[in-house]
Amino acid sequence: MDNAFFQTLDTTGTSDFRKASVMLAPHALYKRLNDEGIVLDLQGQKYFRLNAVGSRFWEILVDQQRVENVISVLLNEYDVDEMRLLADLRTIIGDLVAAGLVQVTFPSK
Amino acid sequence: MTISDAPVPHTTDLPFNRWGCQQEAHYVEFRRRADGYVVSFNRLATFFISRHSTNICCWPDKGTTNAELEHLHRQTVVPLASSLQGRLVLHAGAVQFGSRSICFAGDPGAGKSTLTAYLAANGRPFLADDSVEITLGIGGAHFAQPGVAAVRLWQDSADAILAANERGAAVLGFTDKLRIERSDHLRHSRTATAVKAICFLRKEPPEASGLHLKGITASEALLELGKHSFWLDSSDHDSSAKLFEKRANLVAAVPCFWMSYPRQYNYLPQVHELLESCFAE
Repeated sequence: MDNAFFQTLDTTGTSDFRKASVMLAPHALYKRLNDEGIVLDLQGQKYFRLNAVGSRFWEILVDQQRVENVISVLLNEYDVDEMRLLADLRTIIGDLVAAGLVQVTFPSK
Repeated sequence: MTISDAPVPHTTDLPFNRWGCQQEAHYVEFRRRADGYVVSFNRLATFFISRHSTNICCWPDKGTTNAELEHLHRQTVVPLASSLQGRLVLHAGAVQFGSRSICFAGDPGAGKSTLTAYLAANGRPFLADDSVEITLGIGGAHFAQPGVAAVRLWQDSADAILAANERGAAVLGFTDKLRIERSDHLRHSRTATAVKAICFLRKEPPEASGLHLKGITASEALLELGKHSFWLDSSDHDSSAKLFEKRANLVAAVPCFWMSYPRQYNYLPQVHELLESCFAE
C-alpha cells in the first residue's frame, strides 16, 4: 500500500470518511473465538488478532460496507463519543489496509 | 499411490514453498501445475498430487527403497493431499488416556515422538506418532484417528525408553532415526478416540527447571495449530477456508496447553505423572 492512501485517509474530511466504503479482502478469513477474533491472511499466510471491538467491527463490515453504517451500528452498541469512534475507526481501517486485509473506496467528487 | 514409469511431470514454475534447506536430506520443494502439485523430496522421490487429491503418483529416485517411499507417502504426502480436501491432519503424536486422547504437537525436535513412545511403553497406547487426522464425530466431539503403528526415535531416546530387544532399526536411508513397530510393550490403539486436550511442546534447554503445563486461549491455540497442521496450498481458498474453520472449531472445543520440561529422560516419569493427574479418567 503506498503512502498516498494514508495521506488520503489522514486528510479526508469527516463527511467523506463517513461515506467511504470498506470491503473485506477475499483472501482474509475470520473466526471469532470468545472475546477475540482471528483473521487469517491467505496471501501472506499471517494471522492477526483482533480485540473485542476490532472483532465486532470486522463482523459489522461483513454486512455494512459504508463507514457511516458501521458508525451507526457501533454507536448503538457502545457508549462512546462519536468523534472518538471516528478517530478509532480511522486507525483500525488504516491498520487493516496496511495489512492488506481490507480495501477502502472514497466517494468520487 | 501409483509408481510411474513415465517421465517426471514437467513444471516451469519456481517452487511456491520449500521445507528445509538444499543442503539437508529433508529438503522438499513444492510446485504448482494446472492439474495439481509436484512435491519433490531431495534425492528420494517426486510425487504428483492431483488438484482434488484423487490421484497420487510417485517417481522414485534411483536407490530409494520401498520402505522409504511408503514412509514419505503415508507420513507426508497423504496428509498434504488430505489438506486439499479440507481434512485436518496435525503434525503431532496422539496417545490414548482411557476413552480419550491427548495430542502432542510441537516443532521438530520438541520431543513429540519421545513422549509418545514413553507413554506407549508405560501403559498408554499411542494412536499416531507423527501425523494424526482429526475428524468431527456425531455430537460435535473431535476424534483423533489411528495412524501408522510405529514410532520413530533417535537412538538415544530408544535406548532410554525401550528394552534392548525392542529398539527397532534405521530402515530409512535418509535418516538415522529408528523405526519401532508396535509391540506388546509399545502398545498401539486402532480406535478413533475423542480428543481431550492438545499440548504444544516447547523446546527447553536441558538446564531448564521444572515441568510446566499452562492453559492457553483458543486464539493462541489457533495460531499455534496453524504451524502444526498439514496445509499444502494456502492460496487454494476452498480448502484453506475449510481447514481454518476446522482448526478454529477444534481449539474452541478442546482445551489447549503449553507444555515444557527439561530435555532429560529422567523427567519423563514426572511428565507422565502430571498428565495422569490432569487427564486420566
